[in-house]
Amino acid sequence: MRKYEYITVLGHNTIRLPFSELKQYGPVISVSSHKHDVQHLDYVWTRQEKDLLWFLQHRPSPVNCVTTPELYKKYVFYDEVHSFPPISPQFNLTLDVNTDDQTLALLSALGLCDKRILLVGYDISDHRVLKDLRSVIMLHPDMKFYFLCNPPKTKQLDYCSNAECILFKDMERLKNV
Amino acid sequence: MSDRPDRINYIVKVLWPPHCRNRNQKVLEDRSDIVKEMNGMRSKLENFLKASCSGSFKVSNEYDMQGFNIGLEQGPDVYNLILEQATIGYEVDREIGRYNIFSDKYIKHKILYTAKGIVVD
Repeated sequence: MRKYEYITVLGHNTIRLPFSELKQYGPVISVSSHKHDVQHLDYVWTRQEKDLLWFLQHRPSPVNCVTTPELYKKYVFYDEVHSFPPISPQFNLTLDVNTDDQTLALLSALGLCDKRILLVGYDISDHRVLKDLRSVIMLHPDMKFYFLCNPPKTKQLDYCSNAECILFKDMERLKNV
Repeated sequence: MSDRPDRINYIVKVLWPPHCRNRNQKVLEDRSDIVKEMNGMRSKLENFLKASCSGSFKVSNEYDMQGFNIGLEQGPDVYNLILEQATIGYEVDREIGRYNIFSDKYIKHKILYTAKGIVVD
């Protein structure tokens, strides 16, 4: 499969922007809590079997799910179920059962995209999520990360040269980047 | 395994009948009966796939001493191919390849037959 140039990672926070508009910025990978407007999601990261089945049974077409190796082994004959991408050993990340879904959705997005990642509704209030996000950003200097938020802009990613905080109202300019 | 040909998500190897396996080219040149049996088996499988698959499939023409590869688009067709082994009279290799969207490669898995169905290890 050819990698996408752009991809959007949808985190835990709810956003006012309709998903249909978000789709204009490229394919969307989301955590499994967004079960409305599912038709606009391209991929979902989930570790819960009931969520996996919910997305697989979605009509008219099931959503592509990225999941844990355990669930993948069980649902390997479902074309829409994908296993988590192999993680480079250089990653300074400890992936375990406590790793946040947003981090895992972001890592999945990295496997699908090679140029630009938009982080939308991404909740960085948890210290570990923020630490993991910074590690991922710093390990991918060739990739550009845009953190979308409402005012005020966060300063948490200021020292990452390949990350930028953008307000939702200025989002339009990303179409021309 | 190599990059994916169009729409092929799974690769399954169907084994030759036991007495046809591990035959080198010299033996096959002398034993037309074995070659006939191998070709017959390939045709039988192709007809079965034509009748039962809802997605696309491709039977490989490359010679392999153990069997021949079949590429399939849809998971349910693979499941059916594995399930019907005894009915149609063929044996599927324990290892299958599944296309991985992240690595753009086929990842090999061992098939496990469990009471709850067929899974991979």
